[in-house]
Amino acid sequence: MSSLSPLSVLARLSEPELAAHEAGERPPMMAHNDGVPLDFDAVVAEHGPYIWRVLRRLGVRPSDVEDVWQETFIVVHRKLDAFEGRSQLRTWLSAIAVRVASDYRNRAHRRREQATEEVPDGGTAASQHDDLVEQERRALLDRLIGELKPEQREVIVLYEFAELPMQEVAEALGCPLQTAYSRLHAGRRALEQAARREQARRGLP
Amino acid sequence: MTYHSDPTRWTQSQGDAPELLRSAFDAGTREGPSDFQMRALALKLAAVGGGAALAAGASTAQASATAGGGALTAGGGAMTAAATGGALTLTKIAVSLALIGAAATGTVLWQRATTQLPSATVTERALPSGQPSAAAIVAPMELPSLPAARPAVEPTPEPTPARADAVPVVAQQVPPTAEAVPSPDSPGAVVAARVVAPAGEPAATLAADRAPMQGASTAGVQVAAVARSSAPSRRTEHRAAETVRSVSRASADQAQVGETAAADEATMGRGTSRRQQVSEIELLRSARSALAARPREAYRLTEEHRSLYPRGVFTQERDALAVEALQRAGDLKLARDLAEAFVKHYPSSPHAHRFREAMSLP
Repeated sequence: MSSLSPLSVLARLSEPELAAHEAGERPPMMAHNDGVPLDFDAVVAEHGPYIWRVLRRLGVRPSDVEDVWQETFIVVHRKLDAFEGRSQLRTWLSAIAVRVASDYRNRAHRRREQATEEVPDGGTAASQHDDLVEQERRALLDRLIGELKPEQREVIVLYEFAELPMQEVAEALGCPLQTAYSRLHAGRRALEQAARREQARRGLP
Repeated sequence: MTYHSDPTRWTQSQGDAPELLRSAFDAGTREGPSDFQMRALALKLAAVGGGAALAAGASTAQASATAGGGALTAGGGAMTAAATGGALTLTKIAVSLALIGAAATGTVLWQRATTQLPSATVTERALPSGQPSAAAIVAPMELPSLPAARPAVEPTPEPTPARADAVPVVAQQVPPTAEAVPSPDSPGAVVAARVVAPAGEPAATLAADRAPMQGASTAGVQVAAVARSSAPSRRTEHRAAETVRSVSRASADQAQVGETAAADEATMGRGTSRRQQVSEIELLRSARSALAARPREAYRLTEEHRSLYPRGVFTQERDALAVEALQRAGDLKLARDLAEAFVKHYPSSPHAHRFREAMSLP
């Protein structure tokens, strides 16, 4: 299975390689990860759910997450050949997701749309009570995280939910490690304060 | 390098964080796409090149007919379809919808008129004549729901001489019956489609007009197909015209179908872009699969994509593919010109980087 083949690479192919390429086999020079060619479909299969979660936590609304997910993987596809394996694939993907989600939030902002607070769908049957509780919690999470400054939010999401090591968080965001730490701590403080305010508002201890 | 050990994640232990935050974080970690969702999404990332999937980002796709430039205008306001060769942003899917709507709503009559022309005046401008590519284009406009209670009316096109040398093509058509033709001031909803045809063969232009009929108790779907050759001499020769006219019969069910179809299309703002991308992807997939054995064909398909989706989601892929196809076809001069344009247009694209390297571009 061939991807959009780089001309320069085709030019370098030997006859058997070219024949294999024309037979529809993946050219032997796609992006590499530890010497192993990266297959786009495999990347999608393995990291698709991860990217989906990251996008959601980065403020992409449930109704938009599929579109933004696809948008993210378009970028991934375009750039996969250029991925040189200098960073972890997941870190690289996260960096792309952060940028796409940031564009998305800017667009949503321009449209003056609320990027959080969706009415939970589904019925009100007793069996769905748990779902509703869960949805309310997620909605609260969206709101609390949504109140963070974008740079704090990105660190919180990549560290807490994407579970990247802080070093990779800093890499994905293109900031110094110390900066990533201070954003993490500031973000956590802000979240705690917001959660306490919310608890007080609800009359909870 | 790590300067500090990473702090414990809140998703693992939040210490004395507020309970509300804790439960919210827990819920966040449990959220994710279902397997079904992921499979559906992966399918949508249809392959443009074999296993290399391309995703469809809805945001950049132009779903609606925002065509500037030329317009298909029908006599007496019967048809108005925005359409340009250069800036057509139309979807195939709406043709299907229109045709499905036509079939569902009532009688469909195909009338072939090789030298006869349909009766509404159709002025087609800005179509890339001499272009070997063909196009399938639909311009969905606002579609009114189809009113019920409508007697079937058969159109009776009058033969008129073909304007063979006209660029743009002008087809004359006289309304067969007053009843069958949308009133001039009705909010005409028009779907226009150019149907794919290989180079040198007549391409067909479909114009489907869905508008309320006069009398408010009518329903109708009109699809006018105007075939047009893409003569290399740039003289657009009118060779054939086809009219499809569908008029609904009086039936509550059929009215329901029409309304559903209209409602369907009313929600196409978001939906269409996805469906359009499927078409975009299909087109590019065909181009990609033709690349090795039939590079000319691959190039033609990229040109087709260009005319169909000038502002599509995959313009970068298409343009890169076009360069590659030309390269393989041995048209090195054009390949180089296109690559230069590509590099200028997408300077930071990975493809641009390759083109620069492969062709020693600046």
